[in-house]
Amino acid sequence: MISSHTNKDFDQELRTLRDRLCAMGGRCEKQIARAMEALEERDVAIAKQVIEADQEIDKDEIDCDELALQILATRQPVASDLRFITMALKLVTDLERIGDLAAGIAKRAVELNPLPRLDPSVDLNPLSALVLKNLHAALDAFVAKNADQATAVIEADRNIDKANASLFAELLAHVATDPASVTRVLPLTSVCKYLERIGDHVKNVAESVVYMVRATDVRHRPLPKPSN
Amino acid sequence: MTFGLVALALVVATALVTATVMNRRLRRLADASQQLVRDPKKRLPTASVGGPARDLSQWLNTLADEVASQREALQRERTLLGSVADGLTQGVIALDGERRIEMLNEAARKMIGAPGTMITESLLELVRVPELRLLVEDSRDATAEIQLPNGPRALIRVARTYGRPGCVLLLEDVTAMRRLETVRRDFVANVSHELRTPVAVIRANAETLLAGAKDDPVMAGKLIDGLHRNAERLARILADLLDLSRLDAGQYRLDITAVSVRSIAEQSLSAVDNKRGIAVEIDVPDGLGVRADAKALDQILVNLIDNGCKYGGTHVWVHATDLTDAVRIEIRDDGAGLAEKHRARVFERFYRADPSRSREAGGTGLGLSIVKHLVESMGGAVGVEPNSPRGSIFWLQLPKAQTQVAA
Repeated sequence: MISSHTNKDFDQELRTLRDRLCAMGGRCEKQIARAMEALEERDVAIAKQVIEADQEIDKDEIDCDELALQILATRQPVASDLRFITMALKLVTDLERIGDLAAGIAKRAVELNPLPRLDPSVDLNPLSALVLKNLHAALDAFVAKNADQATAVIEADRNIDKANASLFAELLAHVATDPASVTRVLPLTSVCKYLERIGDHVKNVAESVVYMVRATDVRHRPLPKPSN
Repeated sequence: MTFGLVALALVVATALVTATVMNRRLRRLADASQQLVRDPKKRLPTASVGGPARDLSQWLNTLADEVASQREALQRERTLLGSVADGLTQGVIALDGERRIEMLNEAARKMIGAPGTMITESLLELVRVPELRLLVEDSRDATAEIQLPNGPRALIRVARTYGRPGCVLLLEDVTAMRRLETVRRDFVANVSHELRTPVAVIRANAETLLAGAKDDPVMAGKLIDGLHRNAERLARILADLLDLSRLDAGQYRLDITAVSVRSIAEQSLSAVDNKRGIAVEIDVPDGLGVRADAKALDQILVNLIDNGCKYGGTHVWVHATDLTDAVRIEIRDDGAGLAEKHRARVFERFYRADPSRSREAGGTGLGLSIVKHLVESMGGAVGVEPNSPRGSIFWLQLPKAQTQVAA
């Protein structure tokens, strides 16, 4: 975390790492939104741009990793700085996976393009909107160093799982009534699965934020029961 | 000897008294100066003190006056700068050497979607865009066009500040400009396509006929039919274009009177070529009238009902509601509906949400832009919304006729 160090270069390095992580997170948000746009609009050009742009996220991952390791080796940080660096190392992995999954959605969009639309159509946008909102909130929590906000993100993952389950059931119903639609339904079930997994990575990000701020590990713990 | 001692005692006593008096005055002066620092309006007393302390008080008062006037000038300047910055349509963001936001004007706040209470002072943590990071981290002055998340497309210029670390960002919203460029580019591409296609068919059919097909009755019949259809299509496009250019030039004569919505809607429905046998329901209260040109309203409704029949599902509903000063007419359908990005553009000339389908249906691509022009020339408004659960609602609002009209 950026606190005032006597060594200005150290401060600068930490700030650069934070800025790069934020930019990488922003890029992931954009990739998911564009991949869903490609799927919705049946726009192969956008889908291909998304697949191509995944390389940028891979590059971000390498850059952030390198910088984090360099700080670890040369500055030997302790306490909150150490937690921030270890968090950064985990965050980049999660963000890189999110990028891969967004590219996966774009690949399914390319496959679906020549096939006719499902009728009645199944709207995946509510699910993607939930995922995007949660990713944005997780990045906000990281930036604001707000553990409460991060905990809310962890809890909101339940809604993503629920939305995914109901969409899955809706898609299966299509196959039951029209078995020939299976070739169009399968890529869509994959997209749902990808979105759900992005949700899981977002949850990991939020858990890392809680660790960074409170120094307590909240992974693999049962969530408190929601009130009411 | 004694005299000497007395003199010494006197001198010491005088010195002690003077020192005590001076000390007391200085103490008073120090206390008063402290108040002066706390309250810039306060001044040190000069009348009750004498000697060098008075001079000191006077100098301190002069200094305080100077500081107060400079502070006022600074405040005025700051307010002026703030109101100038907030009055700008361009966004201005000043960053310090650590890329923290030092100043942010209203336009910039809107563009980057900054909340009222900032979660962070760091620009790059707030606006998480990789291209912006590159721009800000670059040590030179640079310009780039960046799509801001959930915000506009902005042309951002970064200028380094001299004499101190940091930089100033100037943001210009180019969303509308880029949209207009797209509209213009699409228009040129579409108009040439729309005009070329029938011409190409006419030319090809005529050449085939000349090359000998005219002697084959079956072939000739088909080719001549194609010639006729495409000539008709070209004529329709030209007539629509002419209407539009008249509307643009304000030469389209409109005879505004009180007209009955119901009778015009029924008249329009009978003129629609309902090939697919769509069920059209008209639900318009009797006697409800609008101030409009009867012919123009008919043209508008024919266009909208025809669209509903061509691109809709199985039903089209025509509704009219009385809004006291205006009348809202809605044409709903239960078809596939329009995506949001198309809804914003369907009223553009030659814009097609689904090009292959609408050309097949025989549209010229100008119907909706004529509708928009006609409605607006009659002082109304027009738009499209999604219908629930499916389809679209094309609505128009026209001024209400104050007298009841005969159906």
